[in-house]
Amino acid sequence: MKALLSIVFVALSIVTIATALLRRSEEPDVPVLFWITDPNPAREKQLEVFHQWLEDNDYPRFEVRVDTANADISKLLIQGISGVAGDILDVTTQKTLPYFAEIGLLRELEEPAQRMGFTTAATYPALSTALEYNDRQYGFPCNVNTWMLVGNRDLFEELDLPIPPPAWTLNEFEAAGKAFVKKANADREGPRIFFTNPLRTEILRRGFGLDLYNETLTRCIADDPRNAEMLECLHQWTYEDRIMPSPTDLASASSDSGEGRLEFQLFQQERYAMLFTGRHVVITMREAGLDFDLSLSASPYKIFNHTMISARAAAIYQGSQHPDLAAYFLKFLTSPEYSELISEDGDGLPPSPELARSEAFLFPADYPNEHDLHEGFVEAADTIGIPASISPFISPFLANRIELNHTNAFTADLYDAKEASRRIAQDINEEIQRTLEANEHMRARYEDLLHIQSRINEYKEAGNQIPADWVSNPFYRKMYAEQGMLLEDGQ
Amino acid sequence: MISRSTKSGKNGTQKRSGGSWDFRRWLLTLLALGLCTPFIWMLLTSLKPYDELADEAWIPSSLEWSNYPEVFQVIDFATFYWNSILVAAWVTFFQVITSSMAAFSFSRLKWPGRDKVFFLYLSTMMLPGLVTMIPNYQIMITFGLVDTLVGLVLPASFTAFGTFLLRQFMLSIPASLDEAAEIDGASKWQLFWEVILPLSRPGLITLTIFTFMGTYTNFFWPLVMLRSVENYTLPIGMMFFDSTRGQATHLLMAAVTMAVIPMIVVFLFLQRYFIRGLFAGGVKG
Amino acid sequence: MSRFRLPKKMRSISVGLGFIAPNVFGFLAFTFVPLIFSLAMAFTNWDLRYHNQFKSAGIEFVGFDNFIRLFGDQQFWRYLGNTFFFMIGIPIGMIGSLTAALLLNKPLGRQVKHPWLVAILGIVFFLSVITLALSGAFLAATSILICGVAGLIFFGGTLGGNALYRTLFYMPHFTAGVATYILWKKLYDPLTGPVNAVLGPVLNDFGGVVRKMPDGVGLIGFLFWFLGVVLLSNWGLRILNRRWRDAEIGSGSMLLGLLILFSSVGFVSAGNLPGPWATIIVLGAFTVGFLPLLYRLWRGSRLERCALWKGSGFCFLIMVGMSVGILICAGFSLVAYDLPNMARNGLEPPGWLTDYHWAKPAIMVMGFWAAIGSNNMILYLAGLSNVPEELEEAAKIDGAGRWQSFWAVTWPHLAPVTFFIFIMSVIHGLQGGFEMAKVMTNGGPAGATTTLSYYIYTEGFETGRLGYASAISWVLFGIVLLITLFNWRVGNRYSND
Repeated sequence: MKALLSIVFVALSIVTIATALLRRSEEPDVPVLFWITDPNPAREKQLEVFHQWLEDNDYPRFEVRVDTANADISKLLIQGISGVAGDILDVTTQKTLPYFAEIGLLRELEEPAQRMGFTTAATYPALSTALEYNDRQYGFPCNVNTWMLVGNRDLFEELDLPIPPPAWTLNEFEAAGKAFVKKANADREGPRIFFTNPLRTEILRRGFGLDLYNETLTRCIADDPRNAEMLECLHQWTYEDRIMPSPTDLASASSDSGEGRLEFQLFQQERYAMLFTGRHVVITMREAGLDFDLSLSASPYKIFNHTMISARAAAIYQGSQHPDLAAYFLKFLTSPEYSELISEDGDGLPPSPELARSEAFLFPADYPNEHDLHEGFVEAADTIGIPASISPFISPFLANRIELNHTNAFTADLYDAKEASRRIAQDINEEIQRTLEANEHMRARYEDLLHIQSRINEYKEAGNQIPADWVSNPFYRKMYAEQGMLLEDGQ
Repeated sequence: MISRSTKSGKNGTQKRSGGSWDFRRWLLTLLALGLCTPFIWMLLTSLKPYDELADEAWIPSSLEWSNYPEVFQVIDFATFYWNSILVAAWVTFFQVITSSMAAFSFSRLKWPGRDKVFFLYLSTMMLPGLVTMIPNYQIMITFGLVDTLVGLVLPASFTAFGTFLLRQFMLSIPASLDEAAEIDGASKWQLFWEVILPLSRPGLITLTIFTFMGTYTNFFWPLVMLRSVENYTLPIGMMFFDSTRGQATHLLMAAVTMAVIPMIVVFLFLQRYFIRGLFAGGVKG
Repeated sequence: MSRFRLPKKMRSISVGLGFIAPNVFGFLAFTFVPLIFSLAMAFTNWDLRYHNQFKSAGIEFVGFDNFIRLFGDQQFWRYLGNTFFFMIGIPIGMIGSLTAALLLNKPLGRQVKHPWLVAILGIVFFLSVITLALSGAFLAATSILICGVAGLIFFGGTLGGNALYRTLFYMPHFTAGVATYILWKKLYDPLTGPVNAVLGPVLNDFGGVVRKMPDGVGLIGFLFWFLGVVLLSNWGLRILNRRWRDAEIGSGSMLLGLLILFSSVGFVSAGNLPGPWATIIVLGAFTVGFLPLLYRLWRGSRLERCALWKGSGFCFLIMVGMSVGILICAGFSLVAYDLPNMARNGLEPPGWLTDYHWAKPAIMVMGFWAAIGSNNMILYLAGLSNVPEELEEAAKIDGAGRWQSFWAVTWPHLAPVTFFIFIMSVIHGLQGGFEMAKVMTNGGPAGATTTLSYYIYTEGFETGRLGYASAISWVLFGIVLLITLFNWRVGNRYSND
């Protein structure tokens, strides 16, 4: 026994020392920054172009390295609050940007943005509020996404059905869906063909003219009857008309997570006629060699046509040792070289709107089957895109989880749509109160906003126009502006 | 289920039981099949070409052996492999030594308060590990062990689990041996090394297998601790295949299949020590 | 002898501690300090969003506020229930791994009667699989593949003996942790996973059959399975009664058994019968069935006495097994009742992990799969190898049957190992479910697969309330401690004898 253990010990030691020696990397003579992002091979290419761009423009030389395997916010959180996170962080506008900004992990970007030109004016106007928290900018988009329904034109033509229009009401969508599944599944063995993959409740709800929060983001208003209406509509489409499968994972649709891959394959195999997705589907399509003709439509709406715009943004860590150098990376994002990369790649829209308008981008010669797909996505970003609504008084993860839980419970028939909506509102509002209790310094601001909210309600009832800067909820801002209910500054 | 036909053969050894068609064999085969079906699926999926991933058929239309080398190209698989094995080996080594010593103390030595201290020790395993993550991380920062393989080895080497396990095994060794050794004038240390430790071999082997497997498949702690790609272990490395834009199920299954090999080797090598008869001589009083 | 020696007591302590030292030092540094820290955290209002190095607000001590709040937190109780539910599988898993170990303990013979026949069959099978696959008949190819693999295992078993089977049985554990969860997540995928791919056509045909049957079928099925519930409960009560009368189990054990039976029936009724009154009626009927038993218990009317907790392990295991049987029958009865309705629209396989009612059973099947060929099996194998052969042979000579021989000879020697396994399973069961939830279900449809461990994660890291999360952890710790203490008292006696 002794002999065995000693041999093992010696062997292990030798091996370890050998490994350590072999792995010793040289200290680079330039500062090294870490970019925490997802393990996408395209990142390496982007960094190559970035380093070249630094050289070409005579900027200070430094190196940026990718630090991946970060699908996990808890890892970033633990590292962040312990002071050892990377320098450049990838955040999403609808979840991690506001969350981390609130925690204090992100640096305010106003000064460097002004100096180097990556203010929110340099990107899509719809995104400006999404990149801010408490009216301060914290990130700049790496790529932008709008969520639309991509359709299989060939399949519709084959079945002698009209191509879905770019915008359609709920009834039109339902009729098209029912007609399609009827024809497609007639005398057919094998698994059922669906019209589309599950739609997102946030977008559908907004189509009814209702958002999760009120105009000042102080209260959850899911107890409005329209939410129940929306849920029931979804339920009917899924279980009675069966034009959509039961949600395989409602949460997965909330980001460009890997779940989308399997759904894409189902689309490719023509088990879905349409796919609700973002522009990043283009990479997947090209890789898979998809060759059927495509169409593009927005999510069906009841009274207000819109879609969601979101971005994966780069932010600078508060505890970074080289914030000024990191700012160069954000400047790079505004450059034509970077936008070109993104356009070629197909991974979402480039951050600069003008560059998304070139011929080469909109109508790539190699892919005629994509038709006006790109134009549709860009149009959406310019015209109907609205970012997600985040309330500063509750963690976005928690709000999402509450909504998901009760929606799932409704799907499982534990209670009806009205009860589910009521509970969503009740739970979220309770959490908001709890946050306020724990943080008295937020209470003053909350009271102010409540005051504004009551005045908004008065104005609504009286039919007056509402001053624009009273409405912090981006959805209501846009909807009221279009309906003429908004009083812009200077009017 | 004791075998039916046992006769004493030559030299007092048992005749091997059962022919090749007996009931036990069938039962084992059936159960093994049931347990392994997910693995069959996994193996077949790892050989599927990319566009067939969403197909229901289990068998791919063509065997894409190229998936396996592809794994090595897409991620730095070899490095992860090496890191995982190295870390698991070290942790196992430390655990076996320190736990056996502690287990010896808790089971064979008598000292006041022994059982109470043992229970206290045991109770530390009962706290869910999540909340100690942040203080643990701070400690690692203080020692400068963040993002190092050493930082993975050290905390895992000293848990109460191994002590508890070995203590239970050591309890079943008759006390008469201790007395005999004491009469012979052996010190406690000699008792430990020469007598008890060899007798606890099943327990030690069990601990080795468990610790190796456990460390090899540990996910959350390395995820939080490690930052540089060259330090990653296998479970983290494999997550590359399941994330954004990379849900390459076939590659993931290929990676998992390859990751499993060292464990199979370790297990195959060690499992024969469970065969009865190897210890027939040791346990007699 | 006048060498100076420390007083015996101190000497023994120092030797004792000396052996513990290496383990303990590491433990102090890496386990103990964080532990104390997290205990302190539980009494504060630490919220990551507002108290960290980038903010100025200070952490305050709030005393027991966190604990008070958690006792009133509905979600806490719900997830505690989930955690306990998932632990129901522990005894079954233990029995499974014990069976596996017993099967794998003895070496297998090596004679293959007709090796050439087997070899030819093997070649034929491989060729046919390939041919069928190439020609696209996947289903047939898959079935032949499965049969072929079975044959392969069989054949390999004759060559490799036990080693092959042990490795195959331990396979699930090779992919322990995240890999298992990912694997099963893909298996369970409703649209693309193999489980539904196989079940789909089967259920479709079955649904067709049900549709053709007359309407009363559902009710008949329901009654049939409900009868199963009644019979099982009755049988359980009778076993308890008989054993108690024969002084094979103590009164304490019997009460424990009754409690388990009672709560399982109550749990099943409450969860599935409409309205509270139905549950009350069922529980009432059950109690009435109990009463004679309880009466006799109270009167102590039996011939012999025995220790209060004698046979508690047996009682516990049997009653839990029976409760599981009851649960299964109840489940089937409800399914049978609903069957005609469900079949009307075409029977489809459920969404497993995405379906509120099926998520938990799906996870438990996975748990059971992992439990059979797991660490516990290895532990039992190691324990079995410690059982002295002579005793077994002696028992055989005395004419003991297999079952009796097992109980009298093997089981007592396995007591320390069983004790260990049970405690570790309970500890892991209460603390676990985090990785599973995170990788597979994100807490499951409407919180169905959220265990306390995952709740701690979402409260601590996704919402930021670390103080509250620590409080929950420590309450969990308390529960584990209590259960372990109980086990300790009961089990220690047996294993230390």
